[in-house]
Amino acid sequence: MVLFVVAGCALLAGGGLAAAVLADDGPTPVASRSGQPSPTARPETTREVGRPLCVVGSWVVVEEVSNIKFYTDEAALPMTSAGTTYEFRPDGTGTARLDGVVWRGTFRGNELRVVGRGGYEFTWSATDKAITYHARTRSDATWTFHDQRGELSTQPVAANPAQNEVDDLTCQATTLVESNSGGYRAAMSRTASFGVYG
Amino acid sequence: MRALFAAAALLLLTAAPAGAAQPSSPEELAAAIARPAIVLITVEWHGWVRDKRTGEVFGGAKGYVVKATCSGAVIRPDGHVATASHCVHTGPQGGAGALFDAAIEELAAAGRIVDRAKAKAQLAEHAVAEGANPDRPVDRAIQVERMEATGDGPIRDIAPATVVDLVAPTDGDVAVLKVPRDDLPSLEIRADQTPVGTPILAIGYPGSAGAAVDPSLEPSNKNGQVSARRTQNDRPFYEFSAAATHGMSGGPLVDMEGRVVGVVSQGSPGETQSFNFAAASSTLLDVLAGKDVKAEPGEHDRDYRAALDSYFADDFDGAVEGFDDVLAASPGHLQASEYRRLAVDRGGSAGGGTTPLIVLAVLCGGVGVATATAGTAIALTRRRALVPAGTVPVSDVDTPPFGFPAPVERAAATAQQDAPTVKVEQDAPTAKVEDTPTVKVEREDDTPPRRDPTAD
Repeated sequence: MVLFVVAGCALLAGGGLAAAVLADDGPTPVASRSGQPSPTARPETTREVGRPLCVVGSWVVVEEVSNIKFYTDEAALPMTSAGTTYEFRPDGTGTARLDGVVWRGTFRGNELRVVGRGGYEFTWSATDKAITYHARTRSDATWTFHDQRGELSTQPVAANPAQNEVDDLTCQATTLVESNSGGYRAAMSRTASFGVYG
Repeated sequence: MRALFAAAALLLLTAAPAGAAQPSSPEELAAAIARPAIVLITVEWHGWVRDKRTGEVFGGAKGYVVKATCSGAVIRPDGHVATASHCVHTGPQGGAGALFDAAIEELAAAGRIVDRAKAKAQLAEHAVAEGANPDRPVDRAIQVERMEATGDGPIRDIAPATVVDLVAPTDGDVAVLKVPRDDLPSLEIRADQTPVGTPILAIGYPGSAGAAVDPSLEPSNKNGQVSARRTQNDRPFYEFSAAATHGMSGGPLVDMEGRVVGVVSQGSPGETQSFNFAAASSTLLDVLAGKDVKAEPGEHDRDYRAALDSYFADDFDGAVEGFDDVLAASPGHLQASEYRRLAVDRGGSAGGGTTPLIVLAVLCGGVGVATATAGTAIALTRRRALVPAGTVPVSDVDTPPFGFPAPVERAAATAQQDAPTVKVEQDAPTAKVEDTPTVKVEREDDTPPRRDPTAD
């Protein structure tokens, strides 16, 4: 009787162990870590746009053409010059220097010259296509007129708080071209005296 | 016996490895240990650059957005991550520098840069990187990316991170981040000074490797050795010979035990490759100590190491069991999952520990059959031995199987319906019982007692 009991127990134990072996089927697949904190989108923030990077800086006129009223009783005459320097500052102020600048032209075969001296301050703004001179805030600049007879007169460049002159503008890296419908056109080249790094 | 032979054969089959798995080099083991803790760190900087001298602000309306990638290593299972501070620092050698670079790029297009290096130096001196309002800090979003095992296959887990603490890039170049994750695989940090000549691996994500788009997020492991110990601003650095390109910054330098020796810092300007520096692990430990954070790997990290040892020792059953333990504690442990699969492919079973159970089950079965057979044999022997006594009328035919006088029992059960004493005569000559005390069934309850005549 005891042996039968032992046999039964052994069979039961064997069956149980076999079941345990069969039941071990490896690790349970894990679920995705959903619900964990994820990165959130950065809130949109903006700042007022400053003046165009390209315009800001210092420039020298390499070629300038304009129609200048030389004689009061004659129409404006086309004249050319070079050498005017500009500094367009990012705060909207600027400086123009006329020292040594000479406008040249001819009238009835005679050479005309307009010699600049001094400079002036101005305020400005710009888009990528236009520049606006809002005001000539301060000036000690003068233009001196010469023809075949010699020096004719010297005229100050007056401050003008209501200037509001708008010119077309093209600025690409080191070249800035300004023009308007009155026949004015100036090609400028960037200089390193202001607004350039390195 | 046949069952025992079958069990023995089964044991031989399960014990035979399908192929050896010894590491081909110490570096392979080190890489296997360290791999689970390696993370890709992405930092997005957003801000503007303002020249304090002129007030000019670079960045337009929306500011600059610069993304940079670095590497890192989990150093605590609760989500602490070590990296280089220049990856997350807001100063000129970190985020501000990245925004300066963006400004320089734009200024160069506008013709306002002559020399980029000098320009950056000028900006570092005269400019500030700031947020949407003057003097407000720039926006910094840090993400820590790692691969994680799931039931649907590996996924790239991307977690936001915060800076726990750091020392400046010029003062140790170590940062500790924290991600909101638990039970991560982590690395042990070596506390002692690593001798010159110690073989190491520099691990991380080189920028050129395109880790940001690599779906498997597999890091590069560059081998070399500690070339020298250096000091910079009283902080220890290791010079090491392994290649470490941009993007590997912040990744760990590990020894052949997979322990963090240092944090990849920076190359030496003007030098060729294989001449790089790593902040010493002591600096990392200092940063952690400053925040009362104790650097220690988790139990699952120790289990993982032990399971790897089993795997590389060709103990695939033990490896499977070990990796199962790792996965139980760190469910997303991709490498444990992958090495477990490799161990199974090489013959390991889900529970190498089940082999003894199989043996025990077979033995129990064998014992059961043997004892039953023995019991039957004894019963037959004793029954025959009782016949000469003559006091008990015994059938002269063979005992039914197993010695149970089933016909008698059935007859008795039928007879007791009518009378308390049973007299049975059967068609079959199996047994003949007549007025003997051998089988006496009285109707005392519904269940008649049974006696085995061979048991007297």
